[in-house]
Amino acid sequence: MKILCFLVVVFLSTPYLHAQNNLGPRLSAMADNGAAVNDIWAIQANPAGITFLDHPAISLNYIKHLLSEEISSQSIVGVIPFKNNYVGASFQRYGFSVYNENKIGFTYAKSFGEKLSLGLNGNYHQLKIDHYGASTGFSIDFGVLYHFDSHFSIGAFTNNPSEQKFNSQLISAKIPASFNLGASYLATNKVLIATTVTKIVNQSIDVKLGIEYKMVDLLSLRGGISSKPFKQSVGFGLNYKKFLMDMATNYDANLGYAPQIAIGYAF
Amino acid sequence: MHPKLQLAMRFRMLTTLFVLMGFISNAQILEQEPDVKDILESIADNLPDDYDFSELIDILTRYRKHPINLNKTSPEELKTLVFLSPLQISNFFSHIKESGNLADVLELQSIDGFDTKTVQSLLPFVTTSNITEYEKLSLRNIIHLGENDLIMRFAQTLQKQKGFTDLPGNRYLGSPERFQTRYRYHYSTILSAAITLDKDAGEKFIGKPFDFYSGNIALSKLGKVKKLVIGDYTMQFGQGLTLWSGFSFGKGPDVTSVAKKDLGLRPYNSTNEYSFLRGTSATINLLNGFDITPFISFRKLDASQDIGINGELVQSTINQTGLHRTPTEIKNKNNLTQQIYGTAIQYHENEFSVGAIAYQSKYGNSFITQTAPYDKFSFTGNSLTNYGIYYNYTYRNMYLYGEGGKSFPGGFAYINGALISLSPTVSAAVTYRNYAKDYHNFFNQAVSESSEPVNEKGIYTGLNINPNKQWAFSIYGDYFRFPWLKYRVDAPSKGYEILSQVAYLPNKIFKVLLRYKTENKQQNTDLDVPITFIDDVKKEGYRFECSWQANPKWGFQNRIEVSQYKKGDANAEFGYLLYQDIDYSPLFSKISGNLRIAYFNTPSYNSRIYAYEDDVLYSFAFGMYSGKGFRTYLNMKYTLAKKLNLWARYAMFHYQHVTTIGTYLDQIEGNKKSEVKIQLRYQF
Repeated sequence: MKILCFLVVVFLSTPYLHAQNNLGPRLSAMADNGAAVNDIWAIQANPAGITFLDHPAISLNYIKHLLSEEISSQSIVGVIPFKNNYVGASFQRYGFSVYNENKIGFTYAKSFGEKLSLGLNGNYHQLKIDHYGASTGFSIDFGVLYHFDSHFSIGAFTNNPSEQKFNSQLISAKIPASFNLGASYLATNKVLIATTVTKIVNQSIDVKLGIEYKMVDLLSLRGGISSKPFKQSVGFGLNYKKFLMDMATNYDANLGYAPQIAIGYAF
Repeated sequence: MHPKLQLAMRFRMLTTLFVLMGFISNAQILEQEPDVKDILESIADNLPDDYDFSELIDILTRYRKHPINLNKTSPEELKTLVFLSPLQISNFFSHIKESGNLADVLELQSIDGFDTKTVQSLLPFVTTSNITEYEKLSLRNIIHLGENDLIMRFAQTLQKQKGFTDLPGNRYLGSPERFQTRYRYHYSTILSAAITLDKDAGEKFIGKPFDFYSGNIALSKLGKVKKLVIGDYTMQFGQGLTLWSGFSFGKGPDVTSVAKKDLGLRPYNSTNEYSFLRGTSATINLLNGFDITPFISFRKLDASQDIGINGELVQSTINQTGLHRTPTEIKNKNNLTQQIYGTAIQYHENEFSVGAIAYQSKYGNSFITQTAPYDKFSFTGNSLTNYGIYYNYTYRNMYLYGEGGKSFPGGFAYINGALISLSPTVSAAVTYRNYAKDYHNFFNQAVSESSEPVNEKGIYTGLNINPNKQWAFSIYGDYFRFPWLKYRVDAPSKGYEILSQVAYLPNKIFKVLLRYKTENKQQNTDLDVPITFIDDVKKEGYRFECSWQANPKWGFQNRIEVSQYKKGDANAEFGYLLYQDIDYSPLFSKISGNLRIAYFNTPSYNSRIYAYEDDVLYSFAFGMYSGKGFRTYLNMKYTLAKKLNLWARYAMFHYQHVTTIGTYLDQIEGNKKSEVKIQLRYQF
């Protein structure tokens, strides 16, 4: 029954797919603030945000959508730096037994000196619905990140600006196109505040605000709110040697909680 | 001369110069009233229409005259400064503890959480110099060193309201003038007395010249007896969930204002006729750190009563307006007795304080529920017992606070929160509240979305960011749910509110402010349907304001505010307000004043806009701009003699395309509504 409700929500409210890229628990806890924040998971948002990495890194993520027992998302991302060039890959799966969305992405990013970096994603999408069949699609993401100084950065990215669609007549779903503009402010080494303004085509503009507070080197606390739809999110991260473990949940008044966990390793 | 000595001498000269300058500027501002407009507007988004804030201004005016000595102050004293957050107060005392006394007020800037704006607001009210305090309580001192302050105020709406005409049945029996008189006596901070008299418009002189009388005598700092009040008093403890009378700030542009600063027992000095206790109370120091505040109160309240099943009188609500104008209002006056007795115990040690409250209220007649389902869980009976526990604890850069309350009969309510100073430029606030639908308390003023803090769960998060002197950002988000029905909401409902604000102050004389607020709640649909459902009601407000001080005499402020209202699938309503304020306040001049010219246009009451209005001293309100038309007011202050001041105010609404203003008994024929106010103050 819940699944039926969910399908109704997904298909009647908008012909678009699950609009959200999986941004990992750190960025999710900060209200999906991916436009101007350096993080390995920025690969799913603003690919220019991966250019801070000095070493290869990898992260695995699992999201449980408490709306239903069955719905979950899994993702994995990895980045390898070559001096100023960065190559990355991502895979994400979302859905349940009879409904599946997959996305595979390949990323190339480059930093031009200390201040400017650019990133490009090529994504291959797959959608499978039992008794309807499968469909595939292709999209491009592009992002830019500019650091004014060590405290203040701005970033912009767009997902699927050319509004590519799935190539099947049977499934009339579109790949969401979005335009995002963001800024981040590192108040001290301990406090990071980030904001993103997101416009997903055919939806109202969403403003998000997130904060990360590094209490001690080992532990960071995070929180955020987004305005449309109104969502609150919280999370924390543990950082031990080369291991990172992050947990987060957001709360949406209609969809409830969606807790997630990620484990990362930097080589 | 030895260079070092030369330097020392130069330094001394400089210091002398500064001190002298300080004296001169002090002398100048002595007669000025504190600029509460800025302070209030930064704390509260909009305040109740006719609330009397005189106590708040009173405190600030007194501090301007007798600044707080920062090296001898107490947390209780600093809590009376509305713009300080509990975390700042806590940080202040840990700074004093670590670094010793302050040498200069400007040293405040080095304390965590004291941004430039806070220090600027604080400066007029504090000092570090040791002004010899006269503390001896003797009859001679009381007579010779006491300060007396007498204020008389007259106000009247010039147009005739329907209630004052010769109507059959319900009408205003009294005259349309409003009179207020307040007398205050202060001897240092240890003895005070107050008398407040009030006659509202439409009230009758029934045998006595005033409708409302209030007064008290208060003593403090008498050894073990920290405070003693005989007469009318207020009680404010913890987060306001168990016992808080009078007004309290809640959600506002300053996100730290959700953490309440309780002031305990205080003499009552307001013209509000409902929110106080009448009797006696004292705060007594028992042991080190332990204070006990027993209290007792007897009052008569207004209630409209019915005949119950057994022929006795019953009521379902208390009338809080304090208006006794019509035969019905007069009939309902003072017909419900209220007896309250109880005690609060507080323990305070360094960064930690905890308190417990217990009290019982007994009413002369029983409360019954109304027939509406939303009222199903309200208080019934005539006896109510309340218990509560509250705490606050400062751990490093974190201020944790909370309170839990239980009513018998009835349910449980609690609130917990934290203010965190994440860095010198960033502070955060988080609060979770959960108030049962059957939590009964007549003195509950906890943070809430509803007007009454019951039947509500919510989580509030906020952030203040002051990256440098020029910029200040604040934002909060509040998500709330009402598990039971409410008035005009026939189902459990939910909603949220977001406020964000940016202030830019490039220099001392110019300020730009941008504010955005959105609120989403649910309410019964307006559609005529067989089964009522609830619709989303969305309100949005955009404010742009800029103010500048052109020169020492002239100041200007402009505001543009847009409001949007949308219910369900109906079309959105747009309203707007534009105003220009001009302020003329030359130094050393006998005359000063300010003027507003505003134009407003809102399609209906739903998209109404509130804005602070300047008024005569001690009187102010957030004006409501609804409909279409012009608003203007002029305030003048004239110094008749050194101790005698006169204020006058003329305010007018000029509505367009209407033939009547107001509703029911307040209705005015025509499209103009104007009011005059005259106030005289004598300090001796």
